[in-house]
Amino acid sequence: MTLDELKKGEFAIIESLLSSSYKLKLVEMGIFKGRQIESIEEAPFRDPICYRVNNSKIMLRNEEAKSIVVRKCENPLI
Amino acid sequence: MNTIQKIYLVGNPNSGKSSLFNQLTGLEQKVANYPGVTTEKKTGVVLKQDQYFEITDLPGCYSLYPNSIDEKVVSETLLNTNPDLIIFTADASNLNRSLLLYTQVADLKIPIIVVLNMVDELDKKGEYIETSILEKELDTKIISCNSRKGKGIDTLWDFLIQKEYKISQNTFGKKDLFAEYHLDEQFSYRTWHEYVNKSEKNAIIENTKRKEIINRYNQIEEILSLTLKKTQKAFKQKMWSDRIDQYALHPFWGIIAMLSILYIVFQFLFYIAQYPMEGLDWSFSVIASWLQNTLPKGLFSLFLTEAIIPGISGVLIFIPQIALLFFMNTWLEESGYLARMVFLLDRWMRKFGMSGKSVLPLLSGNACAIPAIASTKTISTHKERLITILSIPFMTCSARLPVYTLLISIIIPINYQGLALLSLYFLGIFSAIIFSFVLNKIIKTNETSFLIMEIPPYRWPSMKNIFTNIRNAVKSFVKVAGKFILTISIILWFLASFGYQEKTIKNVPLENSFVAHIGKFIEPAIEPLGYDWQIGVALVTSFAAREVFVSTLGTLYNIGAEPDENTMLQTMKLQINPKTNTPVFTLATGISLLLFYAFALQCMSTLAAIRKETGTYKWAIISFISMSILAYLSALLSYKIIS
Ligand SMILES: Nc1nc2c(ncn2[C@@H]2O[C@H](COP(=O)(O)OP(=O)(O)OP(=O)(O)O)[C@@H](O)[C@H]2O)c(=O)[nH]1
Ligand SMILES: [Mg+2]
Repeated sequence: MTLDELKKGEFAIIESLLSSSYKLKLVEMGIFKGRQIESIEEAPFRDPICYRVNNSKIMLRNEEAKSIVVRKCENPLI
Repeated sequence: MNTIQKIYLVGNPNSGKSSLFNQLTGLEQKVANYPGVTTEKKTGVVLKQDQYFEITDLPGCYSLYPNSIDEKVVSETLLNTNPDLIIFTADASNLNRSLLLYTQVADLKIPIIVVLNMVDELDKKGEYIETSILEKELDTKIISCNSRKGKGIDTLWDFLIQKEYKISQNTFGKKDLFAEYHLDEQFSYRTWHEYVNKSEKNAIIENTKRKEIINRYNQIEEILSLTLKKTQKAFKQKMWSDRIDQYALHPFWGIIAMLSILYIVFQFLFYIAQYPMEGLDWSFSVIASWLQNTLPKGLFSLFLTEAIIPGISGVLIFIPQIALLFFMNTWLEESGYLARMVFLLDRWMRKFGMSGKSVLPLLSGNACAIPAIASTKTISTHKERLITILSIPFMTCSARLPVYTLLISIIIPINYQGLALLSLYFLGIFSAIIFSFVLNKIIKTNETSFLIMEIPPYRWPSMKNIFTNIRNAVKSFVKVAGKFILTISIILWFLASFGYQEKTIKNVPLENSFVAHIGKFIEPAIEPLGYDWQIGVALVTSFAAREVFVSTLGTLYNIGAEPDENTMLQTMKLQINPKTNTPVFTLATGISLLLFYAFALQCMSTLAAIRKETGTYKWAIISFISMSILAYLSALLSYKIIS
């Protein structure tokens, strides 16, 4: 699944990033393979969405979230 | 001995660089709880113990690979100049991201020291940092600070004065990461950046950059496992920021909250501000009539009471409103709410070719267009940035406020005045949106736009910042008043009191003065709009700055009038157009003037800013012409419809 499908309050582990012009920017913000990400708030019409990753809150548009492949995880690591 | 120490402040956006800069230099760089406030270099020189320090505040960035113009400033400065020291400001409550940039900057082998900032927030999170271990791991000196309260600054100064600046011997960007490029034997991280800047952007290089960053993050994780410790408290508490965000970022409640906040801002701006304003207006009219009655009759007393006082007072009475506007603005920025507005509004902004990041420039356009235009540097695509720049002049800047308030008080019944002002603000926003919609259709692009932005925690606005912002705003407002308004009032008074009669220049009644002749000359252009020649002159003088409109009318309507205690407002309401024998300020002329001021781009500095930020005269000229035409036509149309 991709990150945009993650529902509010759910956790996931990032598996890979699809290619895009902002791929490097995502990596800089701590979004890359193996990191845990949580969907925390959704703007009207679920776009953009606010995630908690790398110890901070980061907003991503659906477009960007679609380029992030994740695997849902039930029990969040701390 | 007395060489200047060149020092740069480098760090992530919103890590407190500008706060630290202000603490060190005593200057007043803008500080706000929003990533990307500083978009240009700013330097201050300090003399401390016989030693000069040239300290430079830089924009924030997340890594040395820039995504926008402000970030490019940092990497270019670091790669092309040689400072004596870098003060790396790290947000202690978000250390792992701060250290990413730190390891890159340290690898450039420039002397560096780390300021651990916001230790107070880390403490609230229930965490602490083993500084001595971190110092060893990073091979650098670390000083803990709270640059908001000024804690730790003395220790930092001691270090700066000792001048024991060191290059970190630890290298994080390992040579083998870049091995495939065969750069050279003496490989350094700096050579890599030089190579990247020389080469075309390609997939192989991008791949290496990503590998490099992930590798750095992995090393940082190890370091943090040794140095970042949690207390018991950390596991229990949920941050209050998160609790507020459940509502503030909620798709329904978030919007409701945003509208309520904006509503309160406007209430303040009109209802609360009107009391001190009326008081000031009244006191100025008392002073003027007292002077008129006590001073010996003569040119000097006329000059004072007809030129200087009406000119200045007409503008100074708006100080309370300006102060309130900036009070509100600072609250929005300092609390962290602005970043939430980006989140709530991004989707709509996109429809008009802008981005959520356009919210800050547009909103600050409500104060003044010039810094607003400079703040668009954080927007990463050219098209979104250009559209934002060109839409900003439509927003109701504080120079329009005196004009609006004056006209509204003349033509609108008291109960509807607040509403009228609110509608004008909305008109500004609305026309900015329509304009950007049109531009969006015209301008083509093949860049992909994206929004990857951090939402900072809420912070209680510091009183110091609030007052600094208000003071600076009022100061620059008064400065404009001093510069433009006073000179124009004086020239105007001369032109309005004297005329060419019987082959000499003499003191003549207004109707025969120089300015009347000029006014009569402009009259054909403005007569269709329902204005008298005095308004025509005011329209022309206000091309220097919009506020001048108010002072010009103040001067023109006061000249030759009987001494009385009428306030400016009363004087204007009583004006009769000699041609038609009806009041000058009717609903029709009033609305038509309001629309003229809403659309006309009467500000030289804004045009200069557009030219500077877009890099060509083209866009400055285009926006000036299109907005002028729009202003004239809407003024004409509204006058014809209403009258
Ligand atoms: N709690 C706390 N807040 C701080 C501290 N230092 C700065 N701040 C706040 O952090 C926010 C950001 O400060 P700035 O000085 O504007 O940060 P900056 O690094 O210049 O930000 P940009 O110019 O956007 O890159 C402001 O709201 C400051 O009041 C600190 O030590 N503790
Ligand atoms: Mg700054």
